[in-house]
Amino acid sequence: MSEAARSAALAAEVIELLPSAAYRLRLENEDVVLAHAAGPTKANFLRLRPGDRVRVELSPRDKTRGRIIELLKG
Amino acid sequence: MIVRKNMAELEKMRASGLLVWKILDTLKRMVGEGVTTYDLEVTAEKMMAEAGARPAFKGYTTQAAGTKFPFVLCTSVNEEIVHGMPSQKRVLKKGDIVSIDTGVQLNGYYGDSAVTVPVGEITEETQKLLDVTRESLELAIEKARPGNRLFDICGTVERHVTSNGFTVVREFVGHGIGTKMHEEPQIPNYVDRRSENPRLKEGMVLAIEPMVNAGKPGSRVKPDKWTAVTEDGRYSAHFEHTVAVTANGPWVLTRP
Repeated sequence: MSEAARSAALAAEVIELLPSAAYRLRLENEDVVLAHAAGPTKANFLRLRPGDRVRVELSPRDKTRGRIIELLKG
Repeated sequence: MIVRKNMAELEKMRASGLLVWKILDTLKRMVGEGVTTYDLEVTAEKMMAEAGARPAFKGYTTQAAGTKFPFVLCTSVNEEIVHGMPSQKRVLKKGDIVSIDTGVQLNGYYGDSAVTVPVGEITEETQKLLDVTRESLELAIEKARPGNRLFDICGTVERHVTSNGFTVVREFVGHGIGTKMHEEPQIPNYVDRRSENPRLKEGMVLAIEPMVNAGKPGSRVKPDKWTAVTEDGRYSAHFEHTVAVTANGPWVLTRP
């Protein structure tokens, strides 16, 4: 029986803005990671603010770094 | 972490693998016009009980489905990719292809394998789909040697499939196997550079399973939460073997 492919994307909340479109995020498991904007959040010059909910894809090699792939509404 | 098995453990997995092969071999011969997918289920369940093995699929839960899988087989007909449910209403007819996927747990160790079988005469295009999928599995098995990397397996399947004009399913993947049905690593049928690419070592056991669509790669899961079908409704084929990485090269546990 095949396994459902694991999604690398997690929900997180922006807690701090950093230079160069980098952000500090808090994951749902309370881990704090450093992530940069990627995809639509970067292409549209979307400015994220602390408190925004986003979806982040963590690096497989360094679980404290990631890329923000989507802004979650609401 | 990828669990490696010693020779004694591999022998146990061999026993599970051979039982799976025996069941699939019997079911393969049963397939024909007018047979229902539930007939296959009944035979498989009986064979497992006779061998004293526990069906690996029955009662298996995933987070995504949230329900127990109620059968010992996955039977996926035509546009169904994987995890189809056997049914008395599903009567096989000429031109169908049916993927039969099953697994057992024997002496604590799992075996897992699948074949796609044509029903009567099928179109040339469908025959090519089956051939390419089977070939991609064989080519990938050849890569299951110590020193190679996981992406050698993934890339071999992807290259063979796409160069023949078909597509691989991305939402479902192969897996490591041992005392659990699904162990590390996940084995996609394409190279996913975002994931890790571990080196293969002696004693690793992998369930390699190309799932190949005739049309577009997209899939969706039906409201029963299990059956995965192609988005465009075109046929999909699926072959699988449990393969041990040994010093002498790949050892396919699920065939004689």
